[in-house]
Amino acid sequence: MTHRLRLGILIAPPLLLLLVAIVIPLAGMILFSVRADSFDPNEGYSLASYQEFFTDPRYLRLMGQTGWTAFIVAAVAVLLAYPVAYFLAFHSGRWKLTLIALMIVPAWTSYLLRILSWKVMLGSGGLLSSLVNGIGIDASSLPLLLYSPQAVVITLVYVWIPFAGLPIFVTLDRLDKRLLEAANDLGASPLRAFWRVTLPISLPGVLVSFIYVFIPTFGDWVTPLLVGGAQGGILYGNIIQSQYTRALNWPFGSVLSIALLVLILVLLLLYGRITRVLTGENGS
Amino acid sequence: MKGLRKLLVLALLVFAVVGGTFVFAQEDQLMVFDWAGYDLEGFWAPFAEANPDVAVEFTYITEDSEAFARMASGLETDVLHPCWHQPYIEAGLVQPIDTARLTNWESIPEVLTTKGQGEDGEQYFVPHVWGYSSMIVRTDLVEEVPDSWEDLWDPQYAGRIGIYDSGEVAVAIAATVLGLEDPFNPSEEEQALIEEKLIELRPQLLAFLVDPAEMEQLLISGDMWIMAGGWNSTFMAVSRALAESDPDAAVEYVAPVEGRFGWLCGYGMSANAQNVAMAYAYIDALISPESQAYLTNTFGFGGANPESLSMVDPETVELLQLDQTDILNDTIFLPDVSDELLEAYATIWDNVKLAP
Repeated sequence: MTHRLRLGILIAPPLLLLLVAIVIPLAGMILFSVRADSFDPNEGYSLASYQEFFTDPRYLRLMGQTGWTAFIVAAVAVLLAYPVAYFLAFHSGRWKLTLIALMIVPAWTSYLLRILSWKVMLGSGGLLSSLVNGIGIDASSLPLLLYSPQAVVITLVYVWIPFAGLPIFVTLDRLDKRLLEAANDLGASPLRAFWRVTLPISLPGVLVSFIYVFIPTFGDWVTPLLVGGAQGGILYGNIIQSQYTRALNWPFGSVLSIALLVLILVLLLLYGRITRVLTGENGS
Repeated sequence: MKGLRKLLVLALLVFAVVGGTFVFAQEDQLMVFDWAGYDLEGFWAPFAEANPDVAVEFTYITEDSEAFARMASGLETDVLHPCWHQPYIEAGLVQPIDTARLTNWESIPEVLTTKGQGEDGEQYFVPHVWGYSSMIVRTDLVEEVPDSWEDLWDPQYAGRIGIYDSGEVAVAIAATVLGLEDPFNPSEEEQALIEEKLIELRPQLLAFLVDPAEMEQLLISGDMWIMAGGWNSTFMAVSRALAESDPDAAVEYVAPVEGRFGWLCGYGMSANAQNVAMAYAYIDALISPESQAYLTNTFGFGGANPESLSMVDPETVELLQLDQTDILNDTIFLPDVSDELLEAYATIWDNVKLAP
């Protein structure tokens, strides 16, 4: 009994936190999505907001476009993070911990500050344009880098690289080095050993990285707002934000949020399936 | 066991002391919902002098429809400073103001005070500041200086125009360019035309902006040539900065041929204000001649209290024509937006952003 009581006391605070911070708001969101009015509960309930979402092609189009942006960001972040993680796992020697810390250090800075610092770098008169000027090209003749869809991708990739690197590093670091020796003994070239041994074993880590980057990018609205400008500044999250804070259409904002949530849940299920297949094939 | 009890008592004591100071501190706190910039102490210096123990806490407004949304969804504040009035009065979000409790009230001209009245004849808002929403142009960077709102659609400025991220102002610009009979009360058909016109403007735009610092920085760097819907304060800040840093640069506050838009913001008191006495003192301080002179000298805005004019920089007054009594005639003041139009404008602006 006392054991149970102690367990109960230990579990109660996190359970309470989950309830207050996740379950109740989610339930509220679902409730709001079927309300007819943002503020007046007497107006009753309706599915009009859902109908609007599915019949107006612009929202689904924006969702697709945002998904594509998130895909590019996640793919580029993983591609760039992989070599770094590889180096850390196999070649960093006694510098390993120091170098990992260095990789993570930028993530200690506030998210907003990191985005704002890219504003300084991408803006005209910023670091990049001085660099271009330095090699003899007139930067003012080039199109502006800041306030474009490209600026959003660059900034998001930078922000998420440390998070993409860690899971890959962990799988590579745990890799049984004897497998590589065996591959070598059996006459495989280093490239072939990487292709047939290292890469397949690290794929689950790569997928985790991808998901780590993809999901928060899909819902992000701060980065497009700050560096995207009029041409790249509107992603799915921005419309959700605007529905809540400006249009005062909480029901529709809730529908947009739920649609995003459902999509991501489906992707996560898909991811679980893929990892199972991958690890099954590797026979580990 | 004894140790535990001691610890408990100690914890309770600490809790009581900390909690007590918190409750005590709350009594002397005034919450103000205001635009960034109005938190400068120069504005409320007379209040701070008279009430040195009161902590003034600011929450920031970035745009009027957003401010209204936040108030409607229950933001706690004592004082608010929106530039829309009627929607707050109709929604019962503000309380009537007893003007007899404001020592500076008598100085404010009637043409302004009527704008803060409800249909019941009560005063709900105290007029505080007015200014323009016009075009700020880097005249050294453009080949031709635009002189009409229509020029925003001219391809020579493509990608170099910033616009105030507000459906209300954007709709006003488009409605004016379309030459609508009543640009501030468009029919549904006209709303569709406005939306179409604004979607055509989208490729011309560099950014949707709400942050005054960002507007200034973009004009100073030259990335942005035209700020559509720009305020006096932004123009003042940019011309001051450029005069210091770049003698070849030039910036002008252009009044389009159709007229520049004007706005008037006032202070109101939240219907559930916690600190009504302090709120009166605060509002009274902000319409004092000293505070109003600080307003004009710092931001180039017009103050509601004309007694401040003797204390302000005459060049600023002349440049922005702040002393003209017929200013109401050649400035198109943005009227209060009705509930239906409020929603329609938000939808139009969202659709412009959603357009492929």
